[in-house]
Amino acid sequence: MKKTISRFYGMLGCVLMLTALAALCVSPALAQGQQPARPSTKGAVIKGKAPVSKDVLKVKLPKPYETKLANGLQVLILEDHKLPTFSMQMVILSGGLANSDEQVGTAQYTATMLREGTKTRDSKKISEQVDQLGASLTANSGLASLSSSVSASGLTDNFDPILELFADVLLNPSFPADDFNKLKQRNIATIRLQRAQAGFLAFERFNKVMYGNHPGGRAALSAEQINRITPDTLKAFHATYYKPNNAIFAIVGDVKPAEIVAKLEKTFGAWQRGDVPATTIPSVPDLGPAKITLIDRPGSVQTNLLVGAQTITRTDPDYFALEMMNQVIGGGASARLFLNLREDKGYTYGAYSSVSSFKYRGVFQANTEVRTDVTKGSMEELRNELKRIREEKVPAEEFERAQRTIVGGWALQLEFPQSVLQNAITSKIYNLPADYWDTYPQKIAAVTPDDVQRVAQKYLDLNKLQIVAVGDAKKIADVLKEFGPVEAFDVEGKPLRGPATAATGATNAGADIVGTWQLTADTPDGAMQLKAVIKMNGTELGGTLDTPLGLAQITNGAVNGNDVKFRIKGDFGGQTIVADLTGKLDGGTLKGQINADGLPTVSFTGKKEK
Amino acid sequence: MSITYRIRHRFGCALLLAALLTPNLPASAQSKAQSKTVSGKASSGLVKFQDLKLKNGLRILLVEDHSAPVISLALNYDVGSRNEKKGRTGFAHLFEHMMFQGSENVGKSEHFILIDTNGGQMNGTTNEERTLYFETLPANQLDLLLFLEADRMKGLDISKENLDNQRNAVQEERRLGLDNQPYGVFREKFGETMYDNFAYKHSVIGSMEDLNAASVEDVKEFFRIYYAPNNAVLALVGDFKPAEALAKIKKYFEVIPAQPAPAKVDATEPAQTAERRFTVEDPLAQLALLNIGYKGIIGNTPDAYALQMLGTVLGGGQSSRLYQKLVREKQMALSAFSGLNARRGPGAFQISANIAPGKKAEDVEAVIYEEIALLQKEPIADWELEKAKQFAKRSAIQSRQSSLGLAINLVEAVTAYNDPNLVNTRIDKLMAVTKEDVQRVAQKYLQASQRTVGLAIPKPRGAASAGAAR
Repeated sequence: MKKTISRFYGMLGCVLMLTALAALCVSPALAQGQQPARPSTKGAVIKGKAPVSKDVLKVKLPKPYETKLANGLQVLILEDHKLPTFSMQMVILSGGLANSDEQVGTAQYTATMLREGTKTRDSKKISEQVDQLGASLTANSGLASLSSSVSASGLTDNFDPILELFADVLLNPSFPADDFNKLKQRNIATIRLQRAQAGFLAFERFNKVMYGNHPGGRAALSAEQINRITPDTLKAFHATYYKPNNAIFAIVGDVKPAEIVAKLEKTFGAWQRGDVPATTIPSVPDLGPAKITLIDRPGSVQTNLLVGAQTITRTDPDYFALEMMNQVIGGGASARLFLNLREDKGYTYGAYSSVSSFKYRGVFQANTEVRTDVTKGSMEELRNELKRIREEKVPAEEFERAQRTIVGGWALQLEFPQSVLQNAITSKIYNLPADYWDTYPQKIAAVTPDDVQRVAQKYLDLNKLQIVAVGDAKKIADVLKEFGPVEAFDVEGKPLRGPATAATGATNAGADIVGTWQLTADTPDGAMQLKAVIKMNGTELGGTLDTPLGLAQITNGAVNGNDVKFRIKGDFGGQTIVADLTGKLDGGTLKGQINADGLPTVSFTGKKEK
Repeated sequence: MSITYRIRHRFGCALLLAALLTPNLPASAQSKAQSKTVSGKASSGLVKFQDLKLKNGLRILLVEDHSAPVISLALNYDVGSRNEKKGRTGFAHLFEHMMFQGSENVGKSEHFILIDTNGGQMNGTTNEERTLYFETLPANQLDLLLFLEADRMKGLDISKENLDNQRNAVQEERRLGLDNQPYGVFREKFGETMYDNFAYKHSVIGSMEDLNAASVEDVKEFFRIYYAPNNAVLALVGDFKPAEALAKIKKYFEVIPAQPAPAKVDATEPAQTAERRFTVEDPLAQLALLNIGYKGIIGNTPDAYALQMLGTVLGGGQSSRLYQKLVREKQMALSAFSGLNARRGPGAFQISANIAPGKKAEDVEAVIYEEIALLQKEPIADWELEKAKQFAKRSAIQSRQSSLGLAINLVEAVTAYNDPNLVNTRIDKLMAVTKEDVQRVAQKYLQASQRTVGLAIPKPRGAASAGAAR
């Protein structure tokens, strides 16, 4: 079986050679010169005959009424009288990020347990009253969230009793031990339902790969972590963080601000403020070199693929350029991934991308689920699309379409005032400028194709690209190895040593060549000591060759079974020498030859350093 | 605020999974979906609509609503998987995908691009009953909206290449929603076991084999028979002037010729005389899933409305009897739902429970039957009926928030029951249900001889993982 590690770089090998640093300096013009530009819209035919109004409707989004109670509770009220309903939220400005690794899950369970009992109501009573009012009442917090929230909604006629219930669970939770133990047992059992789903496995591993031990990598709790939490930890979390001066109350619907404020003062006026410890957020560690993480899910008939790169914090100036980049790559059915992988290739039902950003760095993510036997083609196309957005400026027409996609939909928000209110909450959490949402369309309109290319080159660093694949290892492990080093796990998250190799009995050659080699070359002038440092940069296998004459670059690595091939290029005394290295791997030893035009062939042998 | 876990089913052009997995969806989701109505009493007034028919038979419903500068269109074709023939299962849905592959004046995938780049949203979806296409756009794009739907109602640009491409996409949709999901194949088998009449016996997504067999000729013939204006209903809701909108609708649609009416489907189900039962080993599952179904209920009847209420009392929400008993009290199940899948043909009342580790499915089943016996023996409590009515009322009102929700409710009411005014009257029919009605339908429909019981159990380990590379 042929394994060409550098397959993506075939034609562009020389341009993209060397290392991560050089990759950032690639000249787009040169890259385009070697690879003909593709049509701007793959998988689609534009006839341009439909009657389109060129105007983008300018809409003014409503502004919520804002006030603050004496105890520090911030209040946002957005009137919307279309229907006799309302929906409200108490956002507590502390969440899973306030929990150390030892306490992980505390914020989440504190929220979940609010509904399970108060000083005057047990769990069943709360459920009955909520359902009888035709209301909904939920509370949650994420494992790595900045906030926790309690939400309720219902018919305006039932506002008073719903508010009373809402306040009761928020202010007077009892965290009953028996109910908590039952909930924990159910949740531990539910882990098994989750682990049966390929999508969950991909999501969980992706978070881990992208964030390592940073809280951002928390995806789901283990049984052990769940068992560690006690009613006392929940009580302590509630007592510390659920304070009016650490909260925002937000409501949208068929309500009048004056009436709401009066009711809030009555209901929450006695809620005592308190000192809330600030949440410190560690910075996200840099990603290691590009790799593929495989989760072996025997029997899978699809491969779930997630491709990730680190991005920015929410308030980074590159935010809008990244939004545009994402829209072009995978923002919907008219974006490149969908049109290429589905409409052109028929590999998948859907292919999309997204960008997240928080107070800590977020991620860019491309995702698709493809049938097993096109895993290779899908990997290639995902790769091609990321390369393309880095190397080619988005054509003007396509760029303008993407801008219109984001801005044109602004009018639709008027049907969903909840989203307007949510934006206001986001503004508070991230301290966004007052005119942030009003000027959002202008900020999108101000992004240029150059900006998108710049952020693509900056953030979609192919040398650090992380790929997570969930599928049947015996069918896809060898395919994945063609794209880089593969690390494998089973569905329980335990590392697997064998899956990538057991199927064929071949060694994991791409991984074996990576490392530091001490080589002895038999030159006409006698033995020469060489030190080769070989790395996997993205899917490019390359590195450096330290010679007595100076440092040379190793590029274009390819491994086929035990055969390896490299290009060596170096400036020696003002002369550029290009040579080909071919060799055979045998465990920790490497033997072969170096050939250069006009120079004698040199044999070498060597050993890998431990 | 972290990366959220989601499986996206956007732009499926596809069946919503709800449609695909009808017999098995958490039943509460179904009852929710099918109770989307509008109540004059409960909300700020009745929906006023114009109900018209073009010369070619296309039924038009118009609702003027200037609350947001937005327009929504829903277009239902009266064709779903119930119309499919043996050997061509999955075809109605595959055809739906072809509707995005281009027509005379719209290129392949140009529909996606035009809607997206003009700030809109769209999709298509297929279930047993119908194929629905819908779009929402800013109000200044009325011409675009009508043009796009009319152009593909006129005729499609069908090529073998595009058919093959979409066949692949649909097969991935099947894998994503069914073959690669725990309980996916089990759910398909449930419907096949419960029904005898082919109309509802087979899955909407269809078999891989049948999908492979579909030809360009099949597509052309299907289009001719079912995609005729006289077999469709269009609703337009939002910020427009009705006279102007109607003139445009006529301009774009009235040139499309009518076709002979398609043959009516006989979905009648022969009487069931004994319980049906099956067990499957699911290599992708880690816990057991129990499904129980009672078929034969016809939608939009007093019995169906009573069963909808019963579904809420038995298995809707955390205060429901099954949740309280099975999930909280006895800790035998991780979840428990019940609800009615109502439709014009014989629908089914379904109960579903994820069995907790170490617990026996038969014990869970016994508790479910005890609870059913109780419903048959005694009237439900006042608060339970009140709760069921509040549920219904609230979802009825909420379904009116968006212009699209209302447009879809209008066309669904016409395709299923030929009564657009159901958007106003359905809530009254639900409010009329009494405790006695609930008890009566429990006795009438939830009988042992009428049920189908399916159990999915995890395939013993080793068998599945032995093949994995150690």
